[in-house]
Amino acid sequence: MDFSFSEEQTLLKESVSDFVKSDYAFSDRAAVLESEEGFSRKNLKTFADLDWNSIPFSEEDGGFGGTAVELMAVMEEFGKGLVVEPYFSSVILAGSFLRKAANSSQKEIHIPKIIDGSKIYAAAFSELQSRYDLYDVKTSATKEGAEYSLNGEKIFVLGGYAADTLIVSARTSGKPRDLEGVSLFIVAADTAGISKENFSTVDGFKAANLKFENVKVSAGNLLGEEGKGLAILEDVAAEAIIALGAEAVGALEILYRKTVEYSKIRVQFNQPIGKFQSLQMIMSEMFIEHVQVKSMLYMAVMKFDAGEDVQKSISAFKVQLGKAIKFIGQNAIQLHGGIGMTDELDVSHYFKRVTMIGVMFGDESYHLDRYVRLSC
Amino acid sequence: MDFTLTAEQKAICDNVAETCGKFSDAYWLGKDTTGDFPIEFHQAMAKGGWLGITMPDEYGGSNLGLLEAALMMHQVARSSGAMSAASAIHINLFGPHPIVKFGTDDQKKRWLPELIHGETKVCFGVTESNAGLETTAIETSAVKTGSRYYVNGAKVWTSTAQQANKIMLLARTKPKEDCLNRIEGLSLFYTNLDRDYVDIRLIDKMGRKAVDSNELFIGDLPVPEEDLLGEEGKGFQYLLHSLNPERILVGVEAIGIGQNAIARASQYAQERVVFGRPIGQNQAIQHPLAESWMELEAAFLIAMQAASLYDRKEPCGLKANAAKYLGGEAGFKACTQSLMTFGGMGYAKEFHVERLLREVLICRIAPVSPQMILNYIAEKALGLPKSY
Repeated sequence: MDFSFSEEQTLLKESVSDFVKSDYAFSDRAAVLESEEGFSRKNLKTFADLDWNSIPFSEEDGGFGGTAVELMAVMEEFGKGLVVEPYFSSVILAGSFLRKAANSSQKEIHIPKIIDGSKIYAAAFSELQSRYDLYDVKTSATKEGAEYSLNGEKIFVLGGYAADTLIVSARTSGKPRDLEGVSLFIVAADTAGISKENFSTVDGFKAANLKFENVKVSAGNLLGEEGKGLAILEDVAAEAIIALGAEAVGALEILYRKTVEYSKIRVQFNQPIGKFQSLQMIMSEMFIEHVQVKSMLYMAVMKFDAGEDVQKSISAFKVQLGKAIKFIGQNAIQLHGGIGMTDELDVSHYFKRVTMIGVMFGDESYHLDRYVRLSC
Repeated sequence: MDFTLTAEQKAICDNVAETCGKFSDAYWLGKDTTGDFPIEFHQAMAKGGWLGITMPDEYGGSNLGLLEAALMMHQVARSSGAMSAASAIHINLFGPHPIVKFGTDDQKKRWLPELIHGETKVCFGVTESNAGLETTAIETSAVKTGSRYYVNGAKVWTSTAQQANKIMLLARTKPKEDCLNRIEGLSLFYTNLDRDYVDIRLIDKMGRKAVDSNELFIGDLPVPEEDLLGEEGKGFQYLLHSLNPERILVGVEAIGIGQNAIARASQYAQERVVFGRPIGQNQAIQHPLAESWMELEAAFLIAMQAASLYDRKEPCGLKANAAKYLGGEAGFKACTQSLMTFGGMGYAKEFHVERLLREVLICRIAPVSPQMILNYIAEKALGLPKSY
């Protein structure tokens, strides 16, 4: 059992960490959030130049051939800086659909665009009624000759605001909650019939709700086998949980460290509040929660890379993550007191980001229930 | 809104505390070791007139309300005897309630005075192993032949059956399938516990060792028809009348035990010195005890409110259940924290807090589980659909 990073992985982690430290100070990030797009194209270019976009893609697809360990390394560092650029939504999430399901000509067209950062991709798979159930798909895709016609609505499309190309789940057969009959499509975001409603999320990201009205997609843009999309969605979601989870683990580390630092400088009754035993105990537990969830992340990553018991360990990790997010996040605010509630201090921003991650791709109770079902 | 006790209520607390104070830690630890019924304590309470506190005065009782009974049982449980002391007399307070409420004059005259004077001891045969909290699922049957019923079946968790000469017995007098609804068809009897027909087996258990719990196997127990309480088939409804009082009393009993535990822990934390100062100066010791203090006080207030509602004949189900839930949980937490405050010594019997922890656990389980109370509150207070 080896928990240490290889030299290459260490270098990668350090390069992301350097970027966050030198180019992503809290004030830099605030300026990015103020900008019209809500993220920085310049930063996206840096990611491409430093070759981070190629990490998850295989060598034959022009990528770096990274495993979940590399993904984790990058995302954990991004989490420490609360990076808002659509790296997760485009490179990891949308990219994952292509890696897992695209045929060779689809790969040739799309993957280079993600790697060189020239295009932004997004995945549209949630619907108003679907909650966390990936198979709950009402959006329909009806085959008409060499085309499919898509009708329906997708909500909370992460990075959908700026996306050039979409990966969309739609039903080609069956009833809305059938496990069979879900298909995946590659759709240009400017295709006639797609309307967008953009919005900001509490954690500083941007997302969109999309409406599809008789959107024509050529059969050549069917991703994977018709009606067999659910297995791919589940694989993608597992990887997404690892990536987002790693981001949260990075952010949680900052939250507990900042809380400890603050407790040493904030003086009440002529002593730093960090001297109070009851606060020390809470901070010790924050530390323990962080170590615990980081260990669960390592376990999930290793199982993912080994291809064993993947879904179960992913759910176990997400449950622990949900607990850690609540405990560390809420206590970080509580121990900072009133100042922890303000926008001026970064603590509240970390809190909002981890809270969002806590519910994305299934919250604590959803995954606890799923773990039970997978165990029986 | 007045939270003060009357002079009479204060006197009840003082007098009960004084009587209980005569029974030392050593007395109760002794009973806990041997399992002998605390007969001396029972007699002292009977002599003080406490057993009939809620009974009508024409039969020798004091005709006081549930609030007074709750104050009394709070003091009893707060004494070193904890649940063993409380259970030794608890049943006298509301166990005979169906007699008072539904018995004929003749029945009251026959039964109440000797109960109040502590001459008869009664036990309660309601629960069965296959029924649990689903009381209407009991299978013990009473079949009438001539002027007698013959009872067959088995009961479990019957307290004080080793001493009792009377039993309040719930049995089915009409087969379930012939009943219009699930609460019909059960009848309540108050009759002699005739050991020729009832095999009583002691259940060895974790706490409250001095007050026996038993399994009863009943074979053809003859019950004269004059021992039937009220109307045949309405026994379950009769029992419902004493459920709320029982919950309130168990709630305050748990609170009393918890308060005793917290008092002992606070005392110890002042005396015990580690790293050059009393451990009570550490926040890790202080804060949980302070938390328990507040929880116990809050639970006590809701119990008092529930008792006051009951005495004014207003609906008290929600508050009575809340009192039992909050009391049970707070008492358990207080006892656990007390033991942890003592550290290794808490594990030793000579410091008594491990006994209090064993004693208080029953208040979490009985007479109804915390989960069933949550179900009840969800349904009745919040209007949510029944979940079971």
